[in-house]
Amino acid sequence: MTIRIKKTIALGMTGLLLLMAASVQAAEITGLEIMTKADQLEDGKDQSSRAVYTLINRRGQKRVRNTVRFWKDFDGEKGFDSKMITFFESPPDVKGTGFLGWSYENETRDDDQWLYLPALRKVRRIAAGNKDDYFMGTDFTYDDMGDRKIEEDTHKLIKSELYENVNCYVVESVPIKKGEMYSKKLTWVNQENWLTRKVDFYDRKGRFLKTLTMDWQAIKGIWTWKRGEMKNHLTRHSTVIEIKKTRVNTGLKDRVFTERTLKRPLKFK
Amino acid sequence: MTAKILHSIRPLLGATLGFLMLLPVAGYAQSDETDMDVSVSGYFENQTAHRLNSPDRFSQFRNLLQLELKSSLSDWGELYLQLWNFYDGVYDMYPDEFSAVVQDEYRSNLTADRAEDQTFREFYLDILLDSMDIRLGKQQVVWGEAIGLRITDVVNPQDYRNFILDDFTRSRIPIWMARFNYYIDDWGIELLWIPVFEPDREALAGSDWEWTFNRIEPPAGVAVRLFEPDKPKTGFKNSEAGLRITGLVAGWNLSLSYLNVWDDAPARHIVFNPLTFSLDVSPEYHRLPLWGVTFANAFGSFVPRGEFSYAEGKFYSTADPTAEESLVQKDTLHYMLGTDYSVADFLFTFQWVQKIILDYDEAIYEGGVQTSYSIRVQANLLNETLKPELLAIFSPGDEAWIARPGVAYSMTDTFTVTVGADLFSGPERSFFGQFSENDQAYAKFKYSF
Repeated sequence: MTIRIKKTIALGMTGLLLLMAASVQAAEITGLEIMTKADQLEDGKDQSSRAVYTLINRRGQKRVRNTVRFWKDFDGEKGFDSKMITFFESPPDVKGTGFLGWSYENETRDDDQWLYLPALRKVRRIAAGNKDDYFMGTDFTYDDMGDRKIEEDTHKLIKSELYENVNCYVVESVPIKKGEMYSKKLTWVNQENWLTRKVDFYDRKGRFLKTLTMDWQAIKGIWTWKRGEMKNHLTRHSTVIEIKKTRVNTGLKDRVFTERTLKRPLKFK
Repeated sequence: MTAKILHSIRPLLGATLGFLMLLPVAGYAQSDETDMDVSVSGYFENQTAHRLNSPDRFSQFRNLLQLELKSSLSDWGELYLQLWNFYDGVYDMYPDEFSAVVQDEYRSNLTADRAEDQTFREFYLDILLDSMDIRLGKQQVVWGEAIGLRITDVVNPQDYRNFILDDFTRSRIPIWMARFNYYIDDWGIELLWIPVFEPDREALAGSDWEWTFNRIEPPAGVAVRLFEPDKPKTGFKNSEAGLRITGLVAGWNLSLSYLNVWDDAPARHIVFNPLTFSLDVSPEYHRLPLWGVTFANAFGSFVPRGEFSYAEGKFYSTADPTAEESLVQKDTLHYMLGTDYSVADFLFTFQWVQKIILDYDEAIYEGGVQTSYSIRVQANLLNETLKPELLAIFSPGDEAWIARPGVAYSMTDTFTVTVGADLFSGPERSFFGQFSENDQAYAKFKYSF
């Protein structure tokens, strides 16, 4: 009995020490460091995947968009940061629509973007200026899809807490520029692997606008989205993205990311 | 009436059944576990329009079925077939209002002139090589940057039977050609060879969209005899060719093109015939070399774009009594400068367009400088289910305009309803004003598959 009590006290002490250590670590790391680590996760040299977007309105009616996406990291080669091309496979009225985007190492330079609309049979240059636009009718803005840069916000670690049995840092991010679409965001970041698990978005008026939750998968040691769900609490519209057949580092060629490919969607075998 | 409609729909059903017979082939190809696969897609659309002016009647009850069959041939190629079948019930509803020729031409593709040509709308083979794509067959070529008008986008002739109300993808007439696209980095070279000339398809006399603004007005007591134009004979000498170079330079999408083609609209050779005391009008097709330049770039929310074409020696009708057969040849500059501007869920497109006849002679019937402005506003609302749109073109020279408001609502992923109107204003002798009594409101139902 005495031994058992001693063991319990010892375990309790150890737990307390670990908790204190964790608190010290939490106290040492800043919100900016957490968000930087979450942003700088290894993406690999290239990725290709299928993505199924399910748009659900307040009445529970669903619309489904099947897409194929190819992405390549250019790592500054010829001034490019990365290039991405996406094709719509369904629904039928948008089948064949393609979107090509080139982003640059120079962060002050706007992305170059082109859209191919099969209904017009024409590649159109499109504006890349507005990151607040919603992407293809979903609840995700271009910023939400990863276009937003760390330095556009101030970041403050406000607490650590368990989210779905995972220890997470909760970071509050507030835009430096006034009048942006979100007045603040709260981000839950896994303390062990720096994966973002959840984001709460607040609109210009400070109202609780949206929640994004994410599931991840590791492929060849690269963390990629497996599923993401964005719920708009004001419109009660939501979007679920399911990522399927993700492949990384397959050696995608530069010529995949051109207007030629845009007009003739790549096969995803 | 019902029997007539059923009779007219019969070709539609026939072609559809014929096409469906192809499906087992598609099934076979897919189950064969080869690299060949076949996909079938398309849409069915009903557009019902009602006139807003006298006479009080429907102007359109068009049912259109488009079927597309695409078959990939391993990694090196692809076959594409597009079938069209339409039936417009208006010509059976009001048989007394239209001549038999107009009824046949507008009722269905299968009762119209060259039925098979309209039914088998596009049919081509793509050959995909490492740095080159080759497309052989009946096809559309889409060039240019302008919205709602064609300046360098003139490779294919246009179908004017519904004026300019159909989308260009529909009103462009697919033609037989060989097309080669060669790619080097950010540059592309396109070469076209068109062995068979195909002209514009004009609206028939007596139809709702007959052009009257350029009608020949003979002196009192003189008749007008209009002859059918002769198409240039098919042969290498009469074939058409085009070259286009495209590139990306300092962020600008640029293109330079040259077309050695026939003018798709015939010139009207007019001579006075003293024996019949008439003006004999003989439309003839002429060669029309065309140079083109286009550009586009993006700056924040703005996308400036433009295009220029320069036509060498286009024929114009003239009142000059010394002109041979009432025609003169003039070089012509046609250009558009415009920009897109996007804000929130709205996209605005502004365009300024001018057509300038160089070395202009006042006796030419057409104006020497023709200017027009256009604005298009598109919105994507309610998670892109509700899409209001307005396209308006204003021609200040003759104070004429067209306005096309509409709203499309996607009820499901496959079913869309659109309501809208086509409104015209201007003097009778202007391009838009000639249809100022043809205002119409419409509802459109489209099912895609």
